[in-house]
Amino acid sequence: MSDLEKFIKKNRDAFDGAIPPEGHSERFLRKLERMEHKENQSRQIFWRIAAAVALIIVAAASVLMPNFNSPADVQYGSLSLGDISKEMSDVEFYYNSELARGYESLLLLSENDPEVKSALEELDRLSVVYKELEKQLYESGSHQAVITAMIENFRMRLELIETLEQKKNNSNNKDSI
Amino acid sequence: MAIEDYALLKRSLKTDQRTQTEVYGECCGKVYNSCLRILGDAHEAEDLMHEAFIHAFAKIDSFRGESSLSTWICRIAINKCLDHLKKRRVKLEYDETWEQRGAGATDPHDDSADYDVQRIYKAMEHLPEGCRIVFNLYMFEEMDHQSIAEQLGIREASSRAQYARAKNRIKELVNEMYV
Repeated sequence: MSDLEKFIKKNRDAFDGAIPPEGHSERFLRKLERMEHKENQSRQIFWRIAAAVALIIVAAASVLMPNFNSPADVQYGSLSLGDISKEMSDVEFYYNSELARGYESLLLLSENDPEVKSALEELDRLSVVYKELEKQLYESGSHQAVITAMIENFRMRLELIETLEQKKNNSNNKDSI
Repeated sequence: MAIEDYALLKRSLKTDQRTQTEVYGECCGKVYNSCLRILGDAHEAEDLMHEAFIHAFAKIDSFRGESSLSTWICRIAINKCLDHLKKRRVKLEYDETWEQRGAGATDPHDDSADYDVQRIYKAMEHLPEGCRIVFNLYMFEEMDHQSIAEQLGIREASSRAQYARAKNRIKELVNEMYV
């Protein structure tokens, strides 16, 4: 080993003395946030596509298999979407998770805000309708029209939350400007 | 580190921004210096360092803990720098005739110069790009000539010759700085 190599080995840490350009941490944080946002978006798109595909499969199955609607072993007075098929169970899971997240974010905004309050009331009303639909699903023997109405109910609730979130975010941004 | 802590760290690094910025704060100096030595440009070095950290956090599942986390991220950063140079189609000056001169080009009696970090750093900046990269990978990133040759797509003998040439050139440049 030459003296040059020995010198570098001995003083190895001193060669790491360069400091990254000013503001590097902030720029990194911004990139990190952008990346996370992109990932969330693609996850959401994936689940929306999955829900749409599942809906198509169930619609096709109910047309092609007329005897499909006979939940003989169900002992309850109502059925959830998840009781029908694996695909519907995924759809139900997706919407329930998104709604739970949405409820949480609405409550963070403030229950006393009149807009939030009215949205929560509307959500409660739609939830009651959904419960009613679960009963109808059982009684109708998983009729396609009821399934469609249940998914539509989920969609309406989610849309209500997303619209309000968007509105509140926009007004917060304006405030901060 | 206990297995539970290790698993927890890996999980946090995938999703928790606070852990990510902490690890970034601890390791960025080392990673930045590795990138800078290879690329020779502060802004490119910063960009590639950022890419390396983001890549590392996304792929943290593949970190097996055989080296330290900072060393693992450094290795990712170096690969990214080398890919970047390939994409930029930098003409790396790997003078094949140096192979014939080979390690014999090294002065066996070695050094008379008084070395100091600043002068060596300055001398390294004046090396031809290909030569500088080989010197850095061998001396600072502790890669062997076989790995360097594979990474750069050159012959192992060429890597050795470049390294020997780089050492001699640094000695010459450092000596010139004293005159």
